[in-house]
Amino acid sequence: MRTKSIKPLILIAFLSIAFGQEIFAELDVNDSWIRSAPPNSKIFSGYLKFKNVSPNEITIKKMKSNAFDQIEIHSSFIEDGISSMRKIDSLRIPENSEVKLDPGGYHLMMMSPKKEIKEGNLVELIIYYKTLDRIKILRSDAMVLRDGYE
Amino acid sequence: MNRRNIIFIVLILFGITGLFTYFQSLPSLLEKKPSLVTGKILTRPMEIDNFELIDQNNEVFNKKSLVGSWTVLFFGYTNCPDVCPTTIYKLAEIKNGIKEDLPSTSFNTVLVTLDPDRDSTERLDEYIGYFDETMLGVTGTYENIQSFTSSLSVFYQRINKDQGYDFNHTASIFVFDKDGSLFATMSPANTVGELEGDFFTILNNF
Repeated sequence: MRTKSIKPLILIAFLSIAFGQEIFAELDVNDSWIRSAPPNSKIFSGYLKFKNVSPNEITIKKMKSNAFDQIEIHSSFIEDGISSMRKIDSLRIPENSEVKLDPGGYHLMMMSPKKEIKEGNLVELIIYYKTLDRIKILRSDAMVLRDGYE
Repeated sequence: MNRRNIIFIVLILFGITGLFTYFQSLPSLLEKKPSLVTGKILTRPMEIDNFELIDQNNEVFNKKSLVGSWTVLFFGYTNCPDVCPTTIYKLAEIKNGIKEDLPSTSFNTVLVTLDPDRDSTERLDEYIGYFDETMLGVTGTYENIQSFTSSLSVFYQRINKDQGYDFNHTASIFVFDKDGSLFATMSPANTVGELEGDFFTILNNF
């Protein structure tokens, strides 16, 4: 009788561990892609959608990848007819909202590839974000494509 | 002053205002130029000074290269990973649309680099060939790029970074007519649909 009552508890414990990440996810990363470029290119541009599904603000602090020496978040913008780029030190994503990195706007500036970046490859993205005064890490992949997802 | 005089003065005032508005709108009524959503058509096409540049096939690109077809030209550099490929793809899509719907129209697209140090004709060939091989990629000496940009009032400024450098530069797309004169300018920030609409407006009316 005693073992019978414990079984469901063990099951619940296992399930919570298995799906814990899903249940407690705060940050979703979707539609990630990197613009493919000709051989010998030293700079690539990446795009994705950050979705903050938590009730707290999230700030993206930095990004890394095993395929690039350095990744920065940049913003392309046109002001008074002049096209410029600006480095964004931390990207704010308010609670329950979405921030898109799109061609011609916010984008990942991916510098000095450590290996050949070929169309169709998956490239690792490691995202360091801050929420409620804690730094957390999320791993994701981006597909190398010519012109994004149709 | 009696009522008649007041009515007379009011009518005169109405008349003056009417004439004034009429004459103000007269130039645009006479020209009947359609307007663009993404930019503007010049009041009259502007002839530009001659220039001497070179394309990715090592062919001379000068004022004569603009004659005989519509030319769409913009400035950039191949180390620009975001805006430049985006504009190239937008223009390629528009060019395909024009080829399909207005097949008799000759329509060329050109990227002029602001970075002759890194953008040799070989690099431009590799870069342009990858994104849109029907496009021309043009470079030149500092002096020649400088004089071409200044004849179009294009601003550019090198911004040094920890690694390498970027450019802030005039974003406009420049449209030249078949005589090689500057005809219109547009902003590349608009969607393909908006830009394509404006190109059709131009090509169908001129």
